[in-house]
Amino acid sequence: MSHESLNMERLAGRYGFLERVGLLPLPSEDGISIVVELSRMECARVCLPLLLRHSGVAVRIIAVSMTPDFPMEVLARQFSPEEPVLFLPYEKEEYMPNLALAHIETTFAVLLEDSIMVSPGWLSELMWASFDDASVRVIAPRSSTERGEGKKRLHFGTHHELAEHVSYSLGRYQGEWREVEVLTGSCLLFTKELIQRIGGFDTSLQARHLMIADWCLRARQIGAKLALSEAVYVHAIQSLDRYLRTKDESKQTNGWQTYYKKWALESGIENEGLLVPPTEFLKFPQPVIPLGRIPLASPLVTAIVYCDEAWDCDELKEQWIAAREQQSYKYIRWIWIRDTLLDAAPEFPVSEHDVVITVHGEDGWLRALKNASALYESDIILYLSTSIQYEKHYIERVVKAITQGSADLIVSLSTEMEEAGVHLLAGGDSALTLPLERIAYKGGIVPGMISNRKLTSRQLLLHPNASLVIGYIGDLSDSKEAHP
Amino acid sequence: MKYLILSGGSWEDYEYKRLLELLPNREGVCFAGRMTSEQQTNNQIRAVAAADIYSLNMKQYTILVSSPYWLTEVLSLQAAYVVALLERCPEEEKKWLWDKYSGLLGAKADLVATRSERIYLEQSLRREGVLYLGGDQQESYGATFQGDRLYFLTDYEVLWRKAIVNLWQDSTISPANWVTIQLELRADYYISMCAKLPSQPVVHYLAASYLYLLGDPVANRYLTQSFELMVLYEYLDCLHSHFRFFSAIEGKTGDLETAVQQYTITAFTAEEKRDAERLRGWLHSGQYELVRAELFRLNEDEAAAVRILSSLTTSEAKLLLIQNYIRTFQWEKALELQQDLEGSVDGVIEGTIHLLHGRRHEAIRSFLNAAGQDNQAWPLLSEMADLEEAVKRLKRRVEG
Repeated sequence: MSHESLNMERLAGRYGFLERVGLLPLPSEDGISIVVELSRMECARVCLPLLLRHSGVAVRIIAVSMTPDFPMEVLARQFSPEEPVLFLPYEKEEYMPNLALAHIETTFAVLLEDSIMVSPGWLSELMWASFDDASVRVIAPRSSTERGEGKKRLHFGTHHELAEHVSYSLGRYQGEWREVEVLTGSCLLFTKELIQRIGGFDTSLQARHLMIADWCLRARQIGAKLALSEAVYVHAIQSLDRYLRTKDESKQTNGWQTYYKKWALESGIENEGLLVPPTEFLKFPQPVIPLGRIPLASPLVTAIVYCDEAWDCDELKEQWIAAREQQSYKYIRWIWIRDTLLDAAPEFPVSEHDVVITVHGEDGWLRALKNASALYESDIILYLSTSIQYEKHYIERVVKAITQGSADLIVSLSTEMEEAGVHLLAGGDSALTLPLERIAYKGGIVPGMISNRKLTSRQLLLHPNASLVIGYIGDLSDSKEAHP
Repeated sequence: MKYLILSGGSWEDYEYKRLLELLPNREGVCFAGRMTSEQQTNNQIRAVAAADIYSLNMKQYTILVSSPYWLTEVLSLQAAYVVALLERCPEEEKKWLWDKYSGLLGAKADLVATRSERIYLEQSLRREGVLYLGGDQQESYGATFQGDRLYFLTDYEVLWRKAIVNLWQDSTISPANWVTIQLELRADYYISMCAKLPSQPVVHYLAASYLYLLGDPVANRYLTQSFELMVLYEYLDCLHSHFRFFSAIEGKTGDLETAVQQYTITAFTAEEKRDAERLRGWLHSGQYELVRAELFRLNEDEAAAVRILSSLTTSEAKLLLIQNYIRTFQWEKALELQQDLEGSVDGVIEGTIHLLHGRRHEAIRSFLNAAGQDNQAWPLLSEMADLEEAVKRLKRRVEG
């Protein structure tokens, strides 16, 4: 053995010792957030102390109640205010992990169920994988809750036996991990950047392991690698309640059906339990699931914003952005079509879920406008011009008109337009033309053709398809304020 | 809750040490017998001499008894609750005596737990609230701190704690769902084994048995499979053991007429033919509850029979109930009903009860009366001596 390899081995041994005894800090400057899903009191009262004891000092725990009847106050009383545990009570119609993950401030986060029991050294070993390879952005330990190669079923009578096993495993397999196609288990570490890009967990899948698998596939779609640690094992406490004959099997079946449909997997016995679609299906983009509070009954709106007049005044831009922020309707994905010829102001910060398409020149700008809606799936698409300062209930009223009425396309008429009558907009060939900045339509339809109002202007018109049902609503937005 | 341990031998040989560590609300544990002071400290258990157990305030105690030869003490101590840990007969004991007094202990206990699956099934057919202290699940189903120590619990350890807690609780508030959970666990296990060992009739029979106890008509399918395999392998004596079981499943989940027909096919002896005739008579006269109860008894499911009969008021139903009480060792109930119905009682049963309550002279008198004039008293008196000898051996082992 060369001196060099001997030194490496020694160093690794020394490092391993320091890590096992908890003398090394976590490999993250800002610590780590652990979101714990609380659903079983008997597990939670063991899980949380173990997390506090074995995760290092830089850990922040956000414990979220997953059921309305979880006795959170009783649990919270077991912890002193100095301990870094934040309890989030259950909120009806919210998926609590998505709510908690919206507020993560640390670079790394862990999501785990309260049935997971950890032991010394578990956390930093998981975190190191994404330093070994920057594209690894999701990593899981082995446990009985993983499916496929990550599944490991071990018996331990006491936590001492578990800790001995993991200590041995860390010594033997430290630094080893493998890339996997999908993860499904009760413990998952990932980066904040990733969750902000792909959003949260899709509750329409109902079963937790399907939500995790779906989320992992979405992560892979944007190039993230999934990894399984060879060294870390966490012990999952199973529930006996599933042996009570009230188990809701229909709910689980529905979850699978939704999953199969979403990932274009053929349902059937031969595909039973199959979670990974063929690679070509991974190319089809899946919608981002918004983090934070979700108005569940609200459809997702894609708002395409364009600038139709030269706009180089920062103040105006700020005003418009502020007006945008004040919209009463919140479930919106913003797509900003920015032509650097017309929009000379420096870029403004946008939220992670939003998109800025930057083009140079009118042709590209028009092409981007025409194609933007097809790129991102949503229930309603609407166009907004920076020339207009829309009143704060504008989008809410449009959504209401589309969801509650039978129209495919809605035009919001300004006072002048109402006074003049919409028919004035009709062109020479008697076909109807509508101002694009006042149009909204249902997702999944082709609204018609977009063209310039005049050859020299960037103001746009829509020539709606004749087959569409068009509805009209009044609009109180002020088209003059933005351009005094 | 405080616990008193009445074991079948010394502390060193005691086989339920981990279950003691996992006892819920463990305020104090006393072991009747000898323990070193180190053992007492390490296990947080206080040793009490067998003779001193009467000094404990038993209203605060749950007894955990693992030898049937403590039965006299169990009856006289009148603890808050009794948990019987039933075991297979040790080699050095007389099997018939052990089984009889285990049956009596099981009937007296508030909860029966056992590490033998055979005893578990037998007891499940005799009474409610039986726990199997074994399982085939690798994984943990619970976690609990006892002092600084964190234990991971197997499926049956979780159920053990639930069953004990259930003793203290109002059953209407917390129904004993642990019984169903365990039957489901066993059924799931044997169903999965059927797929692995498709040609093993025993595995299919056990799957059918657990599904039957759960009241699941799918039991029929597994029994059919088992019966067909038995016939295939030319085990031709399976008409009693297997085919008759169809009548119990049908009686529980299906058609009574089919059930009676199925029983009739298996009736060979004169007594069995009489039973079949009686069943048909009840069926024709619309006494369906009697038919069902008797079908269960004939299939050794006395627990199900008692459940039906105890709500019936006819003398015919009460006579059947007495038979079921006797077979399930609920002898005091049997005597009471016998006295009400017939004005006289079975001397052997009466003598045994006297014996267990420490009324030796009354026991001898009952045995002599029961034996009549032809010197049949000898086996009964011999049993008495055997029991006394077994109790002495037990005390010697316990005190080390």
